[in-house]
Amino acid sequence: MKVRFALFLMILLLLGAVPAVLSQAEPVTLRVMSYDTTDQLTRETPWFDEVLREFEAAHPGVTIEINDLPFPQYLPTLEAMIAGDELPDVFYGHVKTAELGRAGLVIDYRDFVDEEWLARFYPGPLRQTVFDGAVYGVPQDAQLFMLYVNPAIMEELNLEPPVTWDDLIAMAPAINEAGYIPLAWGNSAGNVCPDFFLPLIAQFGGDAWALDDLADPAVSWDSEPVIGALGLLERLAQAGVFMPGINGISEDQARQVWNQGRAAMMYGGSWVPSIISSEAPVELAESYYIVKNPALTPDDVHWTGNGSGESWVIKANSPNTELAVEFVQYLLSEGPYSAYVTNTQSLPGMGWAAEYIEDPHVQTMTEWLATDGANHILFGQGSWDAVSGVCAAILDGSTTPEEGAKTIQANVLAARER
Amino acid sequence: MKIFRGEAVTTAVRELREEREATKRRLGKILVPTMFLLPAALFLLAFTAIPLAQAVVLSLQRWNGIQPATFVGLRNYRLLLEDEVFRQAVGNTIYYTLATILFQTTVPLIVASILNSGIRGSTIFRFVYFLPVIISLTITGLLWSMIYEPNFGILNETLRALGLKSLTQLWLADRSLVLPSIIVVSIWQSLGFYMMIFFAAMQSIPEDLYEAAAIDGANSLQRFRFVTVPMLRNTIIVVIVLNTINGVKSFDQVWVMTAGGPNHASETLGTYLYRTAFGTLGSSNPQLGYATAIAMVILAVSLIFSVIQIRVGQNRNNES
Amino acid sequence: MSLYRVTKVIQNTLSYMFLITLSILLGFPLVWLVLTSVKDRREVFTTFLPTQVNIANFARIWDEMNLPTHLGNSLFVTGLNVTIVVVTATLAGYAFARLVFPRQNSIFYVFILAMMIPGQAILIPMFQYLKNLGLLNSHVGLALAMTGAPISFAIFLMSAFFRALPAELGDAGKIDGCNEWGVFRHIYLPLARPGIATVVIFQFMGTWNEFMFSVTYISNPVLKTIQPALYQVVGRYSIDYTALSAGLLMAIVPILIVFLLLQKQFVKGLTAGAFKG
Repeated sequence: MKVRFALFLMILLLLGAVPAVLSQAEPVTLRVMSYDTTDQLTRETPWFDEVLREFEAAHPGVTIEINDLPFPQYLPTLEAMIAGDELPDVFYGHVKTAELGRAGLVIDYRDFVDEEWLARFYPGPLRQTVFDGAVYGVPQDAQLFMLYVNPAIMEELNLEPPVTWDDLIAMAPAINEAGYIPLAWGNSAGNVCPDFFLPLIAQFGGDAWALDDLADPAVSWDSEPVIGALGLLERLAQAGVFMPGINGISEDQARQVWNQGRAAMMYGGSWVPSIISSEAPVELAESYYIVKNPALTPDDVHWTGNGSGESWVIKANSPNTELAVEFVQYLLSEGPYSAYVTNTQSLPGMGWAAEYIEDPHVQTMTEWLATDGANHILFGQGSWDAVSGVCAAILDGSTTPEEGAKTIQANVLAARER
Repeated sequence: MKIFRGEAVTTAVRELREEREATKRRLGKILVPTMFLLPAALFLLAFTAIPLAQAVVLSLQRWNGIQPATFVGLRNYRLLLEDEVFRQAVGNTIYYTLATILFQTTVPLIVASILNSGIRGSTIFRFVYFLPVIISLTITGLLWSMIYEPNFGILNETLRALGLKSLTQLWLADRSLVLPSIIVVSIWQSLGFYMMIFFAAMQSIPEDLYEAAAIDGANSLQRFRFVTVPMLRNTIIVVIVLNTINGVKSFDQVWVMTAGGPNHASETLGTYLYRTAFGTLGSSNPQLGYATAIAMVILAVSLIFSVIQIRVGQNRNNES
Repeated sequence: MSLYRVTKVIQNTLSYMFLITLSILLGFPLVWLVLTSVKDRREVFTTFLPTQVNIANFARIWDEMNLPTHLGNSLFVTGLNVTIVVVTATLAGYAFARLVFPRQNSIFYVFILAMMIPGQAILIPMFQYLKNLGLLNSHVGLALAMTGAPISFAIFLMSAFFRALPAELGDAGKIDGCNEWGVFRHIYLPLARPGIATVVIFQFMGTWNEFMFSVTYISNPVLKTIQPALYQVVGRYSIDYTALSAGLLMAIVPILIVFLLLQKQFVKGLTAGAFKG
């Protein structure tokens, strides 16, 4: 019986080895890795399957293998692949783009494509993946953050949507008094506060991208723009603009509060309209409108986060590199990309694709993208975590802007030493 | 002389033979346990010892996964001592572990003994209590965030409806309540798990012991105190040790409820290890050597406490 | 006698009240899953009961994700993993509980060490290790990668279960002419059934629901196990809870079957007579 079990095991081990041998014998498999976006880039999605089949038909012997991961596990998996020297051919670089590019593990697009092709993208989302002049990633889509307004509540309270942060602070008491939440968003995972806060640095004249890099000795996290932005966040929190207990409320939960007509406004990203249309009561879904992230004064730019992590990077020095570049160029060419925008209603990374958007709100966002986008993604080791911690501490009043700014700088430096 | 010599030879032969037999006996004594242990040992060697050895080496290195790793000796461990968040995580982990040991041992024991008292429908109850163990963590996180949401959540709404508005809290957002709130989730989720262990062990308690106790006039509380608890002493130690190990490396429930926040208020060693290795939702923080040093601390603490608990348990057993 | 009966009735009533309250608290997620799986997306957070039963979610999951393939993958990985863990841990657990050998305690601690290692810390070393063995993207590799901590946990449990059985039984067996294997096979193993059933249930559930290793070590979409495949379908920004609930319900069916099938192993196998040998 034991012998039989051992035999069984050996056979299984052999069987496990077979696919590895077989896949080597196959012509070419292009391995693509992404995480689930607004809609899925998988073989099971009919329109995307068609996009892939068309590419395969034009390249006999080539098979596209799509590994689509659940987002919470995407970065750990990518990190294991980096550490194990087992990168896919094409993948979303997300916050790993800078590390990978600077180490030469992914290509500089400038070595493979012309400037004209790169000029097709909105400058903001593209800039995020440009480091030391090298283009390490190109955006599959863009992102933008703004306020989603419930018109019924604003009408009931006779309020106009805020243009400046001071407007918002001024109207908060009236909204609270009526039993509503002025601005709903949740921070229990610690990721929404940096989204909200980092563009404020731009509003105060700073540059989150340069801060993240920390290469310029004149730039540091305890500088004026950061303290100013933290100060504004503190003022908003103290004025009762946000939900009580915001640090213990999930993103989903906050959206439900707004969906159920309990909040006058909601802070959210460009992916929210498609959720609202399937999740919120029809009346609200048909009547809501969006306004720009407030600014410091009516004349200032309404800086708001504009990049997504969904930027294609390509493994360098692999036999498949050329093919991978061709595949990315194909994905971002007219036919496949218009299919992508049509089917997902994602905020496109290229202006020409705006015409494929049916949702009028997302249409509006493409106009704002060119004028108000600021960096809100941090690529450097430990900086997002440092910002996230202090951001939460400002929200619940357990630190001051000056102290918090110093803590961010100290924690970033400590993390980079490890 | 010859005779003497012959005697010596026979003695030597006899000694040799005895020695060989003793070796054989000794070998036999080792051989049987070896055969029983070998299969497990092989798997543990291949799929724990080797990756673990790699991890030990990694904890002595500085590595971001990309650049070649550099040896830094005990630097990671020294940096841990200076790290305020690490100290906070240690404190939180101790708190979390003590609380879960206390509640996740007593409550499941009581529930299991009620289910084992010959009550009808025991299988159905066991099935229902096991559900939170099975059901995905995402759903656990979602349902409990609906309960804890401070403005419109089920818990605060219920308190308000009962006229207990003064008891309403911010729960997960409150730095002093966030850990207890998560511990409640943990107790809720693991009750069925530890209950099953107790229940299975109770099947080897002879029924006659209960009958004898009943004839002596013991009520159910006394039967629990004087039959169940002493007969389950080993199992109770097992559950305490399991709770210790799971507490020291606690991760899942904390991560799904707060990701260690707000601002590290619920950070445990397990979440801090994850944060420094993989970052939080959407961040890059590859301090792989440093993170692995935290893992080694978790391992060492777990081992020390498990050994102590098992030893104490054995001594108690020998006394009784 | 009647007083006894009255206290008994009161006791039973209190017990049932307690057990039923607990059932409501702990059974809630399943009820929620069932109700949500037949709701319209707009109703997920607004009503408790669905206004109309809609089984389209099940059909959608079935169509969108090739459920049979992923269920099959999971069954293979889980089956292999559970077999390895339960067989090896039962043998080793018995040795620690019922045999005597030198350095027994120290060896025991070495064997249970594996369950103290946080999985997150092993994710990357194990990835490199599997790659070197050529076992990435292989169900066998995944099943083997998940043996370490579970074997150690199962040894710990099994040794406790074996220890709870009276030593006199083995002595009696030896007098009757059984060798060490015979004592294990014919005397202790049958009595350890509740313990083995518990370990099988835990291990089946643990491997079936495992997420982190399964996502990381299998990148080929056709080879994926059920949990990663399911979460890939339901989306990042907008988790569709109706579809997720339907998928989760279908995915937990095998666990429930295993749980219920093994219930008949929870029989009382001993009387005090056994103690006297």
